[in-house]
Amino acid sequence: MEESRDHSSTEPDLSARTYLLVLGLAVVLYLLMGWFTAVFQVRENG
Amino acid sequence: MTPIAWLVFGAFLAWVVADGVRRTFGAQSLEDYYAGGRKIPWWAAGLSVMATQASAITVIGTTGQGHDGGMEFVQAYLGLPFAMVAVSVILIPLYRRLPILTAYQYLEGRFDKPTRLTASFLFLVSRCLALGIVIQAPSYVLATVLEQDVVTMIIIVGLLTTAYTTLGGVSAVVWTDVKQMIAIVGGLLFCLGWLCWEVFGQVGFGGALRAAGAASKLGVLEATPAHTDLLPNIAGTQAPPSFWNERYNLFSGLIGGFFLHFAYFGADQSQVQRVLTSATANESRKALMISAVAKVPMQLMVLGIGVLLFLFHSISPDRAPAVFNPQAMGSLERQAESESGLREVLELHDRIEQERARELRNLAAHDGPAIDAPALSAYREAVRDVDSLRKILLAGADPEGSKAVFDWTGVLKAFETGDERRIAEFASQGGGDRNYVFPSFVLSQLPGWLVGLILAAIFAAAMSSVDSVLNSLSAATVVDFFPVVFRRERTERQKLKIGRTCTFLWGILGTATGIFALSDSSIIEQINKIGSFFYGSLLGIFLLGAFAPWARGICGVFGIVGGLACVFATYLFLDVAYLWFNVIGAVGVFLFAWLAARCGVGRKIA
Repeated sequence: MEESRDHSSTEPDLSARTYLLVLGLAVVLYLLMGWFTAVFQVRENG
Repeated sequence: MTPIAWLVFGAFLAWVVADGVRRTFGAQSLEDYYAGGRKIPWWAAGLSVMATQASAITVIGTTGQGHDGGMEFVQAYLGLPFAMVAVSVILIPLYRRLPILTAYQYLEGRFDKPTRLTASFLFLVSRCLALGIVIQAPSYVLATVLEQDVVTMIIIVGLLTTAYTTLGGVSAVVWTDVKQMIAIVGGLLFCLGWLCWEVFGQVGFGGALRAAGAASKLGVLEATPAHTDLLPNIAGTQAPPSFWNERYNLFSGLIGGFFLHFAYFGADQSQVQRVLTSATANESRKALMISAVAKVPMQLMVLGIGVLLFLFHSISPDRAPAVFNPQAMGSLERQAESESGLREVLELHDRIEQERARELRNLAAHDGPAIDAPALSAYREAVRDVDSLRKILLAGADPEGSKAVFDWTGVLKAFETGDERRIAEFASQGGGDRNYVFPSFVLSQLPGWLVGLILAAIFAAAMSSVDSVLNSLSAATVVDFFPVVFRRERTERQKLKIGRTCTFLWGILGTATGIFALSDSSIIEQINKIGSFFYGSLLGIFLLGAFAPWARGICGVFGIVGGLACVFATYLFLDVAYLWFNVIGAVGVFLFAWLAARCGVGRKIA
């Protein structure tokens, strides 16, 4: 097949910093969710 | 619905459908029809990615899930941000290197034509099954509103969507998705605000959290599994649950959810097609990052609305019906005229609801560090009893007048004596009606114009999800299979005509599937379950292409079939939660492809 005309092969990838920022936000959110559950959730046997 | 609600509903719907049809004239070739001429801006593609996943199902099914089961379902999405980054880094470069229209075209270059066709066929089967369920979601809402049969609604939704998708192609899909996404988020935010105002106004923010937590509705992240036995149970045995039975916890959500979403966004044509409409690889990546950041908060919001609905119904029992399915409720009211036992059960239901409201207010007013154990126990018992009675009433409801008279006296006796086992037996006879919880709330509590807007948004959302799937099914059929069966060269105009015909035929088939797959259980879970049977193998073959240079030729087919076999064997013989199927399928692909490569299969045939 012919090469794409969208120049994607020469375009720089989104920076690793962008991905780290996205994943960092996710981890912070999950930590908050874990804290929230620990404080407010009463388990079935709890 | 009031006339103003009908007006808003009709106007919004007409605008969305007209805009979809307007795109008919923009498509001159298959690349326009299936890839929007690669001119769609990244933010529109990103919103479309979200909208395709967050459809009417998200609103109806997930709010119902939050109402009944709490927020634990959000854990199924924990792996999503990681999956989005993985798709961006690993798969986008593979897809954007070539001018492909389906993800499976890549597999032909990397392996061989049979591998491409097998993967594409797997996608067609899985999506066709899910398509029927996607069409059902808005049909439930419309059936509720118009007091019509669900089957009639499925036919209307299916045919209307098929009509404009056939004409407009992927551009129509993306731009209607953008509109519906804005409408859905706006509608949900309004509902969230309304419920917060009502609930927090009566029991306060802290009181609401205490009451929801005491009812076990706030398990947003269960870091400690409830079951720690690491040996999976054999299917059909009565052994105590193992770690692998837990549907949602941190581990199944992060690992199983990662594989599910990696496969969904990276190997399912209905999502990859969105990625292929952007001009460059980075535009595609940016589109995916929107979901990576916004999806989990959005799920939290939707499930949160479900929990707030539970609190609202608990605080104000006089503003909630005994069951949410209006057909079942209507039938119960009619039956109660002649069945004295049912009248007593309905009175018992009202008494327990009042008790739940009283206990909830006591709990909410509690200001100390530890909740009083008897108060907590009384509240939880009332929550459980209302829930059981709802299921029992659904079991006894007889809209068609075809069932034997229900044992209402037995129900009353079981509650009088506190016979938990008997109550559970009665409750297990009833189906759920959680998909009616949100529509019932919208219709009974919100102002007329907003009812019209939210129902139109739900309807448009559903159509936009259905059209995404229709368009991608058509793309896989026309691009992957058509040239194999019909080898004659065709002009672009002829190919476009074939594409439109194929979209139309898939629409008809999907509508028929929707009618035959009717069920009352949670819609969203069903979709994820169906996907999980196939997604692991689909993802596995793409990962094999990216990371296993030793796998060539027909090894790909061995891998896909082996991965599928692993999932079905797990389903048949072991008791394992569905999120893990994705991991098992992907690992199975590598295992069987490796075995095939070791036997020299790929070398001999390729």
